[in-house]
Amino acid sequence: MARHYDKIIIGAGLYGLYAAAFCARKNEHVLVLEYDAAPFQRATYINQARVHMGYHYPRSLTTAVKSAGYFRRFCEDFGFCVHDRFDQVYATSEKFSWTNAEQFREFCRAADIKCLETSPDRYFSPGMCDGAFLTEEYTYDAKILQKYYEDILSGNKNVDILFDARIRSIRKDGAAFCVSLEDGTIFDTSFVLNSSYASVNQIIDKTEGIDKNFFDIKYELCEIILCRPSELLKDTGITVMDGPFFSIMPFGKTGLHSLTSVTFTPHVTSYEGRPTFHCQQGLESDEKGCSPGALGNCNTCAHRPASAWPYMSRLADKYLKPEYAYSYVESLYSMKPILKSSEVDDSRPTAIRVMSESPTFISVLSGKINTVYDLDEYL
Amino acid sequence: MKEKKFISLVIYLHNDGAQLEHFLDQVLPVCEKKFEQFELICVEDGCCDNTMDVLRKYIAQNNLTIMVNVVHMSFFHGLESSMNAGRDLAIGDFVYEFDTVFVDYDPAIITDLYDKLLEGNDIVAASGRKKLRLTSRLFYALYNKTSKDGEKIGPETFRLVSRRAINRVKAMGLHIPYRKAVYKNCGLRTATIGYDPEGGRTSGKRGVSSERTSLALDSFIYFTNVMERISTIVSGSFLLFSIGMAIYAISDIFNKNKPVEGWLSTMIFLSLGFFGVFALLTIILKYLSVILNLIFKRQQYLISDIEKIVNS
Repeated sequence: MARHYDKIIIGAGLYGLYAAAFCARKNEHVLVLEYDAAPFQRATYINQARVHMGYHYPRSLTTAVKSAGYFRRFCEDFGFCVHDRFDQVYATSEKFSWTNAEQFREFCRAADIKCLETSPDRYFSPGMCDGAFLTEEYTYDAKILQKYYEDILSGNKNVDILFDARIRSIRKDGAAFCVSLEDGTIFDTSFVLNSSYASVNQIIDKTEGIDKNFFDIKYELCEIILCRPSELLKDTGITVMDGPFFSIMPFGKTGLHSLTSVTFTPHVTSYEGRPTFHCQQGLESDEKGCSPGALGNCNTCAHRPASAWPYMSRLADKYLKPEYAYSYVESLYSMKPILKSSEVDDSRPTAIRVMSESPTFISVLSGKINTVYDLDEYL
Repeated sequence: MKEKKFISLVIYLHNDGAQLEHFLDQVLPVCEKKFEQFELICVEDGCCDNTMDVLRKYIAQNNLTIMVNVVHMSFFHGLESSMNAGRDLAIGDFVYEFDTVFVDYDPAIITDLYDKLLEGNDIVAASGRKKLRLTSRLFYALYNKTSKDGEKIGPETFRLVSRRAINRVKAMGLHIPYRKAVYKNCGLRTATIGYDPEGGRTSGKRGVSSERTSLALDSFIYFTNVMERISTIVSGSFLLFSIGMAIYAISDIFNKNKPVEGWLSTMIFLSLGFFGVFALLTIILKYLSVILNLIFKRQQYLISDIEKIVNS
C-alpha cells in the first residue's frame, strides 16, 4: 500500500526545504526525498554564498532588478544567517572586461542599487582596474541556515524527510504520481516539486506518463576554495567582474573567504544532455556512485579533481595588492548546471516549469539563493 | 627539483597549423621538466586555416593537463596588439612571449633564458644569429642610432619577462605599440642570449609586409626622434631660406638695383609670409608629438572571446 502525501519534494537544498516549510505552514503533509545523508550537502552549501543584490548582472537589467527586490526580503527572513559587516567591493578590470567603470556606474543607477566610487589603487595593483565601487551585498552561512531548517522541520508533524533516497521512477497514474524507490517503497501524491538543481534533468528522466521537457543546460564541475584572509582582507569582499576574473569574499560567518574565478572554478564541462564526465568512470556501479543517470556528491567523491589553487591564487595576486593576502584552507566541489540560453546577456533566470497539471509536476532551476520566493506562487 | 615559480607561455598564432604541433612537441616537454606549474595562452589572431583544430586535437591526443586558454582576437590585429592581449591575460610570475611558433633553436634555450632571468634580469630575449634581410638591418641600424634612450634592439625570437617588468610597463601608463622597444625603455635590466639557428630551415613565412612597414614607421615615431628631427630640419631650412630671401630683397634696395616693378614688395611679402608659416609649423609639430603621447593610452585591441580548452 502506497503512503500518501500532499506534496513530494525532491532535493533537500534550500529550495526544497523552503518549499517544505512553506507547505507545512499551510498544514499540508509533505515528504522530502534527498539523495545524500543530510540536507544542504551540495550547491546550497558549496557556492559563493552570495546574497545577490544584482551587481552580478550588469548586462541583464531585469535579472538585476529582480535580485535587488528579493534581497531585502531574504535579509529580513534569514537575517540570522546573513553576514553583512564587511565592505563588498566590485571592480571593473582595465583589460578584457565586458563592462567598464562608466557602464557599471550607469547600470547601478538604472537598477537603483548602491554604488559608491572608491579608488582602485586602494585594493589593486596599478593599471589593473579602471573602477572600484563599494556596494551593498551580503553573504549567508549555509551551515546556520541548515541548522535552522533542521530545527523547524524535525519537530514538524507535517514534514517527513527521507535521506539516502534512491528514486526509481515517478509514474503518472490518473490524477496522482506514484513515486517508487529502489528499495521498493512507494509513495503517492498529487504534487511533485523537483528542486534537485544539478540533477533536475535526471529526475525528469525518471518520470513516466508526462512530457519529458528537459532543461537545456550544460554542466560544470566547480571548485570553491576556502581560504583564511589576512587582517586587512577579513572585512572586505572583492569581486572583479564581467570577464575572466575572480572573486574573494567572506564565506558566511565562518571567518573564511571563498575564492573563485570564472576561468579556473569550472574544472570540466559537459555539454551532453545528461551530465557525462571522465571522472565518473569506475564509479557507476558503486552504491554512492555517480553516473550520467544519477550524480554523486562531487565534494565527497574520491575522483574529485586536483585543486586549481595555483591558478586562482595567481590570478588574484596579479590583481590584488600584496596586503590583501590569504592562505589556502580547503577546496569544495559541486556540480553547477547552467542554462545555455543565459550566456550572452549573463542573466541567471530562475527557471520554473510546470510540466504537468493535476497531478502537478514542477521543476525549478535557480542559481541564486534569494530568488527562492519565486516558488511561492506555485506551491 | 622543479622550479616553483608559475610560468605563462604566450604564443602567437596566425595560420600556423603547419608549425604548431612541432612547436608544442618541442617546447612543452622542456617546460614540464623544468617547471612545476605553467599555463599556455594561445593568441588566435584571425586564423583562417586549421590552427585551432590542430590545437584541440593536440590537447585531446596528448592528454594535456596544463591549463590552456585561447584569446580569440575579433579580427586580424597583427603581432604586437595580439601579444599584448595574450600577456595581459597571463597570470604567471614570469611570462614567455613566443612571437612565432617556428622552432629553429634547441628548446633547451628556454630554460637558459629562465636561469639568466634569475641572475637579476627582468627581460631576457633569445636572438638568432642569422643573416637579416636588408630592410630589417636598415631598420635596426637607423633605430639604434636615433633611439631616445640609447638602448639597442635587435631581432628576437622569443623572450621571458618578469611580472615586475610587466607591472613597470603598466605603471608607466603607456600603451605598448612595440614590445621590444618598450621593454628596453622601462629601465629594468635586460639581457639577450644568442643562438645559432639550426638546420638552415626557414619559417617560410613572413609578417604581412604592409604591417611590418607601418610598425617600423610607428616605432620610429614612438621611440626615436628621427621624424621629429627630420621635420624640424625641413621646416628650419625653409625658415632660413625665407629669411635669406628677405635679406636679398632688402639688400636690393640699397644696391640701387632696379628689378622689375613690384618685385621687391612681392618678395618681401612672400618671405615674411612663409617665415610665419614655417615658424608656426615648427610649433605645431611640437604639439603633435605631445598629443601622440596622450593617444598612447587608448584601448588598443579588441578581443571576441576567451576560451578555456579542457581535455574532458
